[in-house]
Amino acid sequence: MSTPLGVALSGRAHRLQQALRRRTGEHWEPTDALRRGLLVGVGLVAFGALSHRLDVLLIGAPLLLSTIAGLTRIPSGPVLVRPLPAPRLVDSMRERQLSVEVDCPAGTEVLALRLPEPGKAGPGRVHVVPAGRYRLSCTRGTDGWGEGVVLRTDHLVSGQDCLTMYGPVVGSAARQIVLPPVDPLPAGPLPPRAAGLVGAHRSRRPGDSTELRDIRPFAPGDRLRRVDWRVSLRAGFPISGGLHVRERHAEADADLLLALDTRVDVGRQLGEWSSALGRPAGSGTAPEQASSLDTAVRAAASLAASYLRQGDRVGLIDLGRPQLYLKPGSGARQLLRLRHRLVLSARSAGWSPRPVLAQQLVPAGATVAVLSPFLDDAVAQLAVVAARRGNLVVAIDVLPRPLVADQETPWGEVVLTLVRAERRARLDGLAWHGVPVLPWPGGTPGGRPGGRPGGRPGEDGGHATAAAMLRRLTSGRRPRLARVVR
Amino acid sequence: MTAQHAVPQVAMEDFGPAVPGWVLRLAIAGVSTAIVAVLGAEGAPPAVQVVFLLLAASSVFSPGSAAPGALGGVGALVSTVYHTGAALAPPVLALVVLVHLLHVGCGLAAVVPPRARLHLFTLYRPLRRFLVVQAAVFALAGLVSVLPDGRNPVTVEVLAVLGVAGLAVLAIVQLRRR
Repeated sequence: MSTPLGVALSGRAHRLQQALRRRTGEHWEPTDALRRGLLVGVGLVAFGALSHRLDVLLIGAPLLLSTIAGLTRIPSGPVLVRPLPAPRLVDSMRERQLSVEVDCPAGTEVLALRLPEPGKAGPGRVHVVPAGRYRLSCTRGTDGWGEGVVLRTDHLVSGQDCLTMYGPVVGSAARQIVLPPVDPLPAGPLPPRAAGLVGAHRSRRPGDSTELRDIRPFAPGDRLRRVDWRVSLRAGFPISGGLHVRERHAEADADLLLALDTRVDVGRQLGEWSSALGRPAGSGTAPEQASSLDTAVRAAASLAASYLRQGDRVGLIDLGRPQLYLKPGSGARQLLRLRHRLVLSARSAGWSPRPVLAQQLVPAGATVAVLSPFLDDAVAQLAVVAARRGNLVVAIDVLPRPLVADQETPWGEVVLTLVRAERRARLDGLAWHGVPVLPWPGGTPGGRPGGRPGGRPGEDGGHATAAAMLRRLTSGRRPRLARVVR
Repeated sequence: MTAQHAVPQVAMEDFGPAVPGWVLRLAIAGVSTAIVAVLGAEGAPPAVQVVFLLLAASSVFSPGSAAPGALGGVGALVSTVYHTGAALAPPVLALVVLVHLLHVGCGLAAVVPPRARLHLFTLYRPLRRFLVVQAAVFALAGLVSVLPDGRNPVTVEVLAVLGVAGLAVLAIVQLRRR
């Protein structure tokens, strides 16, 4: 029932709504074309009629006629341009179809709409299409990942001959979380086989299985039935040598803990290191422009997928934000959880100045892969401490290469030399402490697998080398210091 | 069938090939230059042509400004100064088309960013209306050409001017109503 008070309130609300729309551009207004058509058209026709100049009248007549024709169908009412609901979580490997609902009132002709470009990051270009009522589908298939706006329907609508226009309006945004891509990695030196409990690799943890792991000197706490008397006698027991015991593997799957260093995100240009990169990690840049965090996240996702495919248990820890710890697990759901957690870690990058790897978060016997550009001593010390605790630690260097000196300063080359020397000393120190260092070639030009047209997965030399080395290191034997990979 | 199902689903490919938005500016540059060339052919001195070339450049870089109106309107008036031949001479007929084309092109270019993608199917309805208006104006010109020359009665002329003014008032009222 409409009371006078209700009518007054609704009228007030309507006026308020109109005022807000005027501020946001969501209203119809005349353009310069309308003023030009009226002024020039009427002026020329009137001048021609008054001065008996048929030529002037004829020149002005089309402007007046088209303006009058446009005024007979002035559009009114709101324009609806909005993205249709899309899945919140998408896989970057799939081509994404997005839809926009367009509903323009009668009398509109031109719609300028911002749509994403296939294969490119960002909100995209403006497309000028006919106005009307339809659902417009577009494709967005970038190589990027992360959380962000995938579609923002900025739009502008105009009537006949663009005499009136509605907008420009900053449209509503559709946000999505795009999971990091999983690059196919080679199967490694050992083919997948049914072994252990589920996975192809057995745990490095000593246990009570029947498979021999190592023979080592007797230590307090060892059971007497584990003593290998034959080896002990050969070693000179009881005269010159001590007792030796046989150590067996545990009946458990191998654990791989990916330790992601999210504290720094740097590119190849040293001049940009002191400032933000200007684009978030994973924004779909070219491989030669990939940042260290982008490379690290892609490497982590690919390694996790490769190990999980063989039934191993994979976990994730963010060295800059340990709260985002994901304990080791197996299966396809774990891969989904891990990729999602990688996005969250990259979003909170740079949160902590010091890396943290708590001992209780690292399972006994787990292999720890530290993915970092190794630009400070703290992360190197962390890797060494983790190795001293008894875990096999592998350092994966994700610094983009080759580094480019800052050309704007005469000290650019000197700084580059210092950075290289510091890193070399740091990585040599890691190797000396038994932590193998594997360069991950994601930041080098052509470093990503599948980048070569027609190439088979895993043919890329850099990734194949790094992945194969990592597999060899984690396949069960403890690496000797002399076999450190550089 | 519900109304939701009646909404057609279209893809970008359905709108035909696309050209960059700056192509429209290029077309405006061509039309503006043609207008200046017509004025030059009518006998306008170089200084006037330079002024109109500046207006043409302003129209290209700022199609939503007053430059296109000045180029078309003042250009038409200037042409009357130097035009001494018949009222329906080829330069005049060329200006009839060019000034209208400039008006429509600048109207569209004012809402199309230079880096946008202009899908050619968008131009179908404006082009059809342009042709209809031009056909009507040329029909009027043909009609006038067969009418006898001579001075009209004052009353008829006053009525004609009042009619034009009435059209303008009607347009303003229509706008204020919106």
